[in-house]
Amino acid sequence: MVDQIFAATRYGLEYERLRLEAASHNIAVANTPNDTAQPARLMRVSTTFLPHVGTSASLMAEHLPRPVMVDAEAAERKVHDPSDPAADQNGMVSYPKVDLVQEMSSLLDASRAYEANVRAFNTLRGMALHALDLGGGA
Amino acid sequence: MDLTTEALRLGMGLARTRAEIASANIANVDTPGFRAQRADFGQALGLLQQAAVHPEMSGDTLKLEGKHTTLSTATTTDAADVNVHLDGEVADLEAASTDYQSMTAVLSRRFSLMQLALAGRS
Repeated sequence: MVDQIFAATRYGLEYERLRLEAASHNIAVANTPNDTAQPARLMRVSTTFLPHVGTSASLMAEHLPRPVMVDAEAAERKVHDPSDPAADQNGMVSYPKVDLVQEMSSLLDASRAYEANVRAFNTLRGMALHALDLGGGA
Repeated sequence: MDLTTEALRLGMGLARTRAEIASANIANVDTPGFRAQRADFGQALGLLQQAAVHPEMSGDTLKLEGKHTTLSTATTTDAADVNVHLDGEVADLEAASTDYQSMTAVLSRRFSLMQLALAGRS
């Protein structure tokens, strides 16, 4: 019972943390040259949303969807720099094309949502503690 | 149990469902394709109002109705606005939590009174 209350919040925390990690990874590799043989890859988080509260399949721990981080092929950004050891025969260095605005906004978005989930967890926990305390004031 | 205790129990159940739905909405706030969930307490609220108007009503009616019917039907919204609003959900969660805590406080006080009646002294 108690586990069910927190299942949704735990799912939210995990998902937002993965989004934070993916966004910070993408920002970190923005200026790292790609391996010439390999296409550029960036991180994305993939998930399905939770079953709704009150449905028959709702919130059993083993049926919960789990968010996973997947790497997806990304577009490349070519820069002419023959002195770079990572340059190809034409003197072009390829970097993954990272949309910094999008990554930063998803970073902030995920961080706010994470805080909201922490708050939800604390509130639900407080409610459970108050229920346990029933009749204790006598 | 008497009417007041049953009404409080029902009210606490409602507050708990509200909090659970708000927390599920918060957990899914960034999930693509998620439609916000809303709770419909029409039936339970009607029962509670009836209990307030007719104090002579037996507490068992609340209990039975609460058990048999779906005390709250959580529905996904059909309205045009299906997005989850993080601030609204957090506010809803806090409101439900405050309701719940005030009801536990009242129930606690009632139990203390019963205990006082049993013991005959403070």
